Amino acid sequence: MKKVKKYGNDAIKTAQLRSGIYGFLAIIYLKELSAESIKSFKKPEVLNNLKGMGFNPDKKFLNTGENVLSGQLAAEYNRLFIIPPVHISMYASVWLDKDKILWGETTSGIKKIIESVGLSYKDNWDGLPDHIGVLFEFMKKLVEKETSALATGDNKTASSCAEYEKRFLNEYMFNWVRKFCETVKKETKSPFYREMAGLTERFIEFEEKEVE
Amino acid sequence: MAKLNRRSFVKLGAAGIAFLAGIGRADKLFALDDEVKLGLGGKDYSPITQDKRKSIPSTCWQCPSRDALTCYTEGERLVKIEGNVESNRNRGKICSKGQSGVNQVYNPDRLLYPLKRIGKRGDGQYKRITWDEALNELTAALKKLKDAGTPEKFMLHHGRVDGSDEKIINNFLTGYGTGTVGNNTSTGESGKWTAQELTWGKYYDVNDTENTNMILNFGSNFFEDHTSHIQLAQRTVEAMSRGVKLYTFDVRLSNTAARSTEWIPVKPGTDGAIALAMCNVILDNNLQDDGFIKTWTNVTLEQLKKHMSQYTPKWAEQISGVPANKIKELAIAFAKAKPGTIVSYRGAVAHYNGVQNERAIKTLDAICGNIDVKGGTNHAVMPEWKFPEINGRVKQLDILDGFKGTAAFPTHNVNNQVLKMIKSGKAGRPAIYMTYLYNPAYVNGECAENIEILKDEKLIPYLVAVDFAMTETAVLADLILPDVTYLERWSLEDTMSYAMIPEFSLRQPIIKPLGEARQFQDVTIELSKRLGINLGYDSTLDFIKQSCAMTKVSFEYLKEHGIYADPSAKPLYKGYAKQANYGGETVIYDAGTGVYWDWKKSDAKTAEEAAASGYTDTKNAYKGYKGQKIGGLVYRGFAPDRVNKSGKFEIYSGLLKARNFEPMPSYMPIPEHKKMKDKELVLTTYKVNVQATPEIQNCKWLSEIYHDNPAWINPVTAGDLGIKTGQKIKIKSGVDEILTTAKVTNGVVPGIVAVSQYVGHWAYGEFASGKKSTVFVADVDSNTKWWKETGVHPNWVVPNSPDPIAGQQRSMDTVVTVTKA
Repeated sequence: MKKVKKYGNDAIKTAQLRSGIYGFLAIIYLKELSAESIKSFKKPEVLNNLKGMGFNPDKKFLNTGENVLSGQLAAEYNRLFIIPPVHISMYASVWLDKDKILWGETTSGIKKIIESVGLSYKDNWDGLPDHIGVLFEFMKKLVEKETSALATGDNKTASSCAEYEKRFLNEYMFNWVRKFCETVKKETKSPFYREMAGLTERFIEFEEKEVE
Repeated sequence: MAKLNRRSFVKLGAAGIAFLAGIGRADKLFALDDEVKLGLGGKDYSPITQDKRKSIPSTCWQCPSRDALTCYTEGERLVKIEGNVESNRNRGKICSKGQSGVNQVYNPDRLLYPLKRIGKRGDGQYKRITWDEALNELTAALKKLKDAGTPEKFMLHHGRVDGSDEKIINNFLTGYGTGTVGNNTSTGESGKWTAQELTWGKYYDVNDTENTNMILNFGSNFFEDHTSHIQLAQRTVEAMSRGVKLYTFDVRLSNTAARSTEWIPVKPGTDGAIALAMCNVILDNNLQDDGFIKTWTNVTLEQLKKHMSQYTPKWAEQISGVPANKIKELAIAFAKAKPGTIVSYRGAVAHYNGVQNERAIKTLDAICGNIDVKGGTNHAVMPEWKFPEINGRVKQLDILDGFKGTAAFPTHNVNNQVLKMIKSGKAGRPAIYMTYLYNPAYVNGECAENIEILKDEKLIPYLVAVDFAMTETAVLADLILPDVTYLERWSLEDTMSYAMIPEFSLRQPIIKPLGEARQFQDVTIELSKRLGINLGYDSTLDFIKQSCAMTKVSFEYLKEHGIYADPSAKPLYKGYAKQANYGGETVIYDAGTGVYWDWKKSDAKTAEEAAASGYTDTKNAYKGYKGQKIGGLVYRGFAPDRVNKSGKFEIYSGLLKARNFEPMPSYMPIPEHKKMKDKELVLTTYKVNVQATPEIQNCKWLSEIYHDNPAWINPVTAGDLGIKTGQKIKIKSGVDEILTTAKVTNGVVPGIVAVSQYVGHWAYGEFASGKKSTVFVADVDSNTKWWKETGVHPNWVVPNSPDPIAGQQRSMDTVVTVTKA
């Protein structure tokens, strides 16, 4: 019998990196960053890699303590995403549905896909099901599954994961996340969120090309 | 801003991984729990209220595939149907027909109340009566026949009915005493099944395309329609995505042919010639599987080579139009594929020579060693239900198998001849002719004659139709009993599994039956009570629960999951090579065939009588088959079904020889095609996915997709006839004529006209026939229906003509003229 095309280590490595990026972006957007998260962000292996791709945090960012920085970034997170007048919606249905409402058709569609693969929303998750951070987290979990399937030679599952990812990105992410990032870049007063929005935008653009 | 490239992607990824690792318990920051498990499904939400929908698993009935379903309700309303992802058969996928089941339930044209004719038969005048009135009338008619000692004059003719649905009906009929029970198999594929019974035993084959290396396809449009449509199509698509090649031989560029590696156009009814020539090439090049031929078939390699030597590729080219070099090339590639598999269906089988074509195709698979192996062509694996059974002697009118000499082995009856038999009266006539989910006025050939017979009260004194829709037959009935749709029904199903692991499936009501529609099985149980027949169960549900207990399959599990397959079961291949248990006091050995058989299960009265007449010549000896002796051992072998073949793969059929047919797989020219005159064409029929069965044209979603079926004609042929696309044309055969429009296309071979089946209804309802109901409320979409066409039904011009071996309806052989209308 003919052998199915083998994925190489490159494919596994790529999947691991994608999973890492999606997890990173999920933490950035799900909630205000905790002091612990900021501490991790400032680790050399994080910052050096980010610097290598053009991210240059100013001295103020580097020299401010995590607890203080956490408070400052939380204020900006709330100004940008939670309260009027800026209030950039983090929910897909507001960007994608015709009537631009919370918990619209898009929300149902996203919830259905997420739950249909055995995932559930945590009891303490108080956001809606189509939060941008949830979308990144869902992609992280799908790519993780793909990674483990590739590592064990389960090419069928890996292909199925890739199909899920492609469908989910096309239906629920490629069509609004970049616009969301542009809006954040325009509205934010924080270099951190401007940089994060830029990284997100660049990554989604990269994914769009790779997926196609 | 610089775009991300591979280098910066790696950096970002490394940063992300390091960031997550540095958080410690990052999990607590996320919103989602659990791990991804693909293929779960079963959840859906209302796009309007956003409420979670209730999901109920069940089993489809829109076509013979009977895929596993997940149905969703909001309140008490069915709103959506999907594939059940737990099924090892359709694996979460269904086709558009399955999704349109919603239309069947809520179609305003469906039957909801018992109706009694009040005008002349066929005038369409009915009055609504109560179930009690209907059953009183029917019970009285049945009792009269029973009391007169003529229960066989009650004929039930059913359509696509399997599993518990069929068993409950048969128990009632056996209890009543009639064996005059017809089916619909010869309309579709009885030639294929009988050929298999004569060759390898029990019918139904599985093409294991999931694991194959090459696929040949003779006349099957399986990407659109097949007994196992979704199972086969999805596995083939997956195979092709890993580079497996699919070659389709067909007179028409079907959607399957178009998506094949190559479409190889053939002349109608010549598939067998190609398969035989391929055998010739393989044997000539010594590429055959010597071990299989020697051990498991009943011919020697020398016999086989000698027989096949007459069927050269050059000869086949002249017959079929397929270039000899192409036949050689594909034959050699197929023999080397190891394993390959051959799909075949009506394009090869619904002909005068269909049985021999199928035998040639199975022989081609056999000599390549593809039988019952992973990636090959395999006996179907099906669940084996144990059902409560009523035994008893029945009497039968001899009208099920056609006129004497019609078919040598009508192992699935010859249903297309039943009305002709009734018309002739030579073998008697039923006093009560009851149809159940069977619409002979429409599905048989020669529609005008069907209507004439069904309308004639002298030929059929009492016509009862049981259906969920006002079919072309129901409009002629004296009594109409409204059946439930399959989405309001309890059934146990026994469909084959392409995973090669048996899967039990349940059909359960998604909603309560609408109006006064009642499941016919419950009606037969009620009739049994009224007639004093003791069945041992009180309802269909009771029967199903008893069957589950007898089979040791949990009813509660089935209710929750819809399907059950033993999680520890492994795919079953090479079942024939397992050793048989052939012990027993009444088991004897037949030296002529090498078969051990239990004569008690045959019609022989004594062991002496059985030994004297031998296995082959004792009626129903196959029922006692135990095993086949090969060398010093006894194997399960290719166990027989319905005919007394041995346990070998019978390339040579002594049974055919005894009935004066060529015993080796051979090419039988089609007599009518040999006598064709200038300008005459062969009418070929085909099915499209969304109208693949006779019961679905009134599904509005499907009819919106496909509602017109112009006749396909090759440009060369059309040029000879002076016909252009869009022109009105008349297709005329020896029995009738139809009017349609022409579609001139290179998608058919010259010399034929191709018309799709199963549109062109003249009853059923608004979306099927274009006739709005004057009684019921119009469908909400009536006002937005943008098309007027309803298509043309080709069966008006197709004769009810059976093949001489199986009695298969020859839907592909009709000789016609085509002229401008």
